[in-house]
Amino acid sequence: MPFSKQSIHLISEGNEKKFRSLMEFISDDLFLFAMGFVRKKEIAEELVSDIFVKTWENRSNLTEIENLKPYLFVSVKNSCISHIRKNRKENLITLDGFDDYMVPSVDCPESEYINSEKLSEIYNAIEQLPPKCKLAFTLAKFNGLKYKEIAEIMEVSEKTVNNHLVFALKKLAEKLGVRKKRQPKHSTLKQASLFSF
Amino acid sequence: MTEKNKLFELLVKELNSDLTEDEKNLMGKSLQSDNSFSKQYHTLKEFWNRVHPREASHRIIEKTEKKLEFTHQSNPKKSNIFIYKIAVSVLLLISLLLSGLLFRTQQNPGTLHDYHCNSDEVKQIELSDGTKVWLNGGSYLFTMEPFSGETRTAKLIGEAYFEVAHNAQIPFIVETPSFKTKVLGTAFTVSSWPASKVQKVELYEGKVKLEPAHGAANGAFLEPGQRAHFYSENGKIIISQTNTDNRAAWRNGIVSFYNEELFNIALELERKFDTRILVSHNEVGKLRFTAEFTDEPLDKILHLLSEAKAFSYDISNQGILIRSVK
Repeated sequence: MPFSKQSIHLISEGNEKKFRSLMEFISDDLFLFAMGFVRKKEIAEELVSDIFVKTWENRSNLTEIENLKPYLFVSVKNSCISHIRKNRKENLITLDGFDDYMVPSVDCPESEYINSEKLSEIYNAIEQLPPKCKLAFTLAKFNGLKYKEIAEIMEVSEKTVNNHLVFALKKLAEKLGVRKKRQPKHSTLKQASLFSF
Repeated sequence: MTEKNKLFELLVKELNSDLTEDEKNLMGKSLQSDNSFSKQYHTLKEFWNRVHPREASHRIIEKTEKKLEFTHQSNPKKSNIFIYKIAVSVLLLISLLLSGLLFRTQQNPGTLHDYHCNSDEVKQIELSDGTKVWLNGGSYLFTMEPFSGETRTAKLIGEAYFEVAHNAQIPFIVETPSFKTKVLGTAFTVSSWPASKVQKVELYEGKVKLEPAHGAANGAFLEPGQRAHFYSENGKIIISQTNTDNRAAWRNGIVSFYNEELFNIALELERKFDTRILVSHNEVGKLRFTAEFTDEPLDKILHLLSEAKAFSYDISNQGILIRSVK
């Protein structure tokens, strides 16, 4: 696989083909991830491509990075956030970039349990998730990353990642409109305390 | 409410890894007793497994390679050898063009070969480049031979096992309606039956790359001992381990499954025995089996499978109905 120790070793020695297969393997995911932050195709392409260029230029140090995949995600995240910072006119106080992370758009399969109406219910529910919870959910669902990788990207523990996902799915389930009984609304304070590990 | 939490913990675990038998039982019970949870469960599970981001095309790789001045065919350092290489390739190109013109009438892009195998036999063929192919019953393979151009391409309907003659310069590509398998020199099986929603590639040696035919972005690489299930409905590729000891056992008339879902087994048996098999419950369809049968009739196979993991089945004139045992 493109992220095996052996491939990374070859890349560190300057193997262009291996580097290309690594890019082929991961560029779609990094692009999607960057789009969530910057939303403009050209900018996302440019930022991800710059990360690849940097990775290649520093290839001699690659073998020292413990886990390259999350490392690339973190690099993309950082460069997206600094891009957003640079381009925002006014100085905002909270700028971790997660507050309005955009969930990728999807193709809707018409199946037994999902139709476009259900899908938009789910999407509305995702949009209402707390920002970090939304990001953890997106990385797990849309990028197919493992807990360990998400934990590294978000700089939290794997346990926290798990909590985010459980919370997210519970919220989605509640919004699916199957339940007749109105749930007492969680106060935002209570929600916030759930995520301050 | 804490019990609900536990259930969602389990659901998350199920989506991201595997449940233990105990956990499966617990989940199964809750699904049966709590109708509203059951609906939520199935909707979320379908959302997780079947809804995928829209294919986004981008030019990241091209951009990066341009910035890094990768050229691929040659050394990035511009040396005398590099210039020499250019000269040689220009010469080569000219001679190719000339020969192309000269021989256009005689041996253009090869002639169309169609290999076909009747449904009750297995056929072994050798292609012009030395690649060996075993065609399973009812399969077709189309090629233009002798191969010319930058790739060796074979179009497959059905199932075939390939031992590709190594040629690093000219990749061998197996095309099916929904995906491509690209290889250099290796041994593998491709299963792509027209009626089947799931298609399969198993790799025994070497390395292959899978590319969906529509929107070639989300490919996957296979390592020896891995197999890929390709779901043509949503373009999803799922990679798992397979058994390489008994590669393409169907060549010897053996029906074999390795850690395969009953859904997929049913499709295989449908084809093999020319009947209709319906799996009525999702839970039953997800049961996995590893088994091998030599010349057993269908009812014997079903009997043995149902003994191994409990399910029941009815055989009628219309076909076979598989359901869970209560």
